[in-house]
Amino acid sequence: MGVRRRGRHVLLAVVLAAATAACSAPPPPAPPRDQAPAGQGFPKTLVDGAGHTIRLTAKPTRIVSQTLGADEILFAIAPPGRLVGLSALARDRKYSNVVAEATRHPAPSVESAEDMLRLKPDLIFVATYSRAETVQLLESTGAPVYRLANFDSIEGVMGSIRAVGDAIGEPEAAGRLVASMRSRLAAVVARRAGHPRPRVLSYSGGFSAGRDTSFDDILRYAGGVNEAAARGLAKFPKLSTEQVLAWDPDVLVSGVLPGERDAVRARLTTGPGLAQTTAARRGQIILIDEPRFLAVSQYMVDAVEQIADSLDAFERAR
Amino acid sequence: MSPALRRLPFSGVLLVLVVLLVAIAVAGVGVGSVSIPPGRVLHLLAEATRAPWWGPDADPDLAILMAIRLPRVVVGLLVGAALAVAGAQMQGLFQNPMASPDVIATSTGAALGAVLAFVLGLSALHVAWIPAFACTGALVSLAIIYALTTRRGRTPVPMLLLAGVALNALLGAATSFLISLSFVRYEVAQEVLFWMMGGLDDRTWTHVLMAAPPIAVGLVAALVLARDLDLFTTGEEAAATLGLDVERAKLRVLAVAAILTGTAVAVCGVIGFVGLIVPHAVRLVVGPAHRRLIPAVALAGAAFVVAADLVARTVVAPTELRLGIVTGLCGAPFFLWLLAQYRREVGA
Repeated sequence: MGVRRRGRHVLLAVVLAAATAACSAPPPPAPPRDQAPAGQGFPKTLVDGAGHTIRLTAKPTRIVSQTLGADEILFAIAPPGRLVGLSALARDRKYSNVVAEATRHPAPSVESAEDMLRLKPDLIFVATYSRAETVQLLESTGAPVYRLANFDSIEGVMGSIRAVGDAIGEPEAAGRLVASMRSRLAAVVARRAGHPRPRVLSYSGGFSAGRDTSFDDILRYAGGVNEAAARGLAKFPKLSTEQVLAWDPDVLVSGVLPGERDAVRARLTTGPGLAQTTAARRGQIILIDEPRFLAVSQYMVDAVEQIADSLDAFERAR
Repeated sequence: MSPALRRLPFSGVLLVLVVLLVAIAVAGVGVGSVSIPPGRVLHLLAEATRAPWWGPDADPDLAILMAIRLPRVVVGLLVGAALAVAGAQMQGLFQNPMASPDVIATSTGAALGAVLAFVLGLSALHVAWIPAFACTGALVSLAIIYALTTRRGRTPVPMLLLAGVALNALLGAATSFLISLSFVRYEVAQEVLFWMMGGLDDRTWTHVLMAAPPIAVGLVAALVLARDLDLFTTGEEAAATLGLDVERAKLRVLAVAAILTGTAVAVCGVIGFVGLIVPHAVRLVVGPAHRRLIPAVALAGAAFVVAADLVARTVVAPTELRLGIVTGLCGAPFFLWLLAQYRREVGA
């Protein structure tokens, strides 16, 4: 089902992109796969990340976000007064990159369909992994629900930013945010070009990150080789410490929660099996604050820059 | 069950089980991400007395063997023996083939204790917190069930069974409540859920030190109490006329089973089916007498858990399955096969 939808998506995006290219000069950048191009004017019809068509009759002014990724994007590109509901994680410093903005903001946190509908929203952002029954309930009330997708790559997130910008009628702001991300990524790629690419393993709480994860993409930009992906693993497999030692990565990366930095570093450098890895022996451990490590928004670029800086520092130390 | 196995003398059965256990344990320490042949295992074990196997300068093979695999296998042996013996005791006490260590809610109590430690954030502070809370949970649930069912010094077995069902439901609901609270922090929820599926990954010598004394005491006590359980098979009244202090014997058996189960759950989470199927399988070979059953069940349970763990960490390598999933996947069909065998034998 998902594959079929994605196939329809790609086809629709390709057809629309070709039509756009044929009608205007110079050609605009190809639209991301999860976004159907539409004019800035309202009413407009959009295709969301899950392939569902939604119709917006006017520029949304009562926007509700149910996901942290959408919170972070909206704070960057939407006038704050138009946000009337934020996700439950927006004010959680363990995961959120917009704690300061969200704490100052008067919008309540939303979790259930009831929370959201109480706010009389004219646009709700959810994720493709949001509970189907909640989304169905929201849609049945007539509220436009936009599902965001493509969290596994920076390019996908850029597509989501453009899609959010288009949906809320702020495509220029979204474009500026994406351009800024591209420019920062280009700077990292240029800086790391020609340097050795160390074998890097993400290892947080016994879990790694293989291909088809945001970490894989972040590491590609930062100039490292994802050991788990290179070994054929996808998504977030659980690895034993002896497996980590058997692979003996050059660098270990882990997400850390506030106040746990020292404990996590100690676990990675002195834990049985981990202490003997090249990464631990050389002290090549990168600890990334969870909000950046788990981000599916523009803050992914912060993680790219931090990893690239650390890889540079490890290289200089040798 | 093979007639050849049944014809074996008891000492022969024990010898077969010991050989099987040693073979599985050797495979357990030799097989993994890095294959270590038996000869090299012996060499490394000798080397461990001289060379450091902890810290950055340790030989990686030595570190894998001594710091990771050996404690994992030893904890597996202890837990397997404990759960299987506790299961045999419960089946003997309740005279019910469906009885298992879970029946008096000790494993549910242990699970609640452990989940509480996770939710309170204690799991990251020291490895001893989870086992301490789990053991406390197991003993508290035993105390509750005993207090609920004992009147004027008598504890009717059917009452124990019914109270166990009710307490299991209550403690299970409390555990679910705590798990639902833990979802505020996804990494805690992930830890809790994985722990609930049971596993021997990242077990250390600290876990061995925590589990070995109570399990050793429990196994010896179970052997001592085997005669009492044999008398129970004649019925409570007959056992009393044969000189058994029935109520005291019940309490002792329950306490030993609770210690064994609580300790096992404390060091490796909830592992199903071991206490149910291993006693059944072994009973088919050595018969129902607990003096024979208990030692044989301990050996077979230990071998079963280490073998299941070997499957858990190799079948989808380089990742791992949770041990509870493997024991469930192997245990349930095996149990059904045993039932089919039993039906054929009794002509039902």
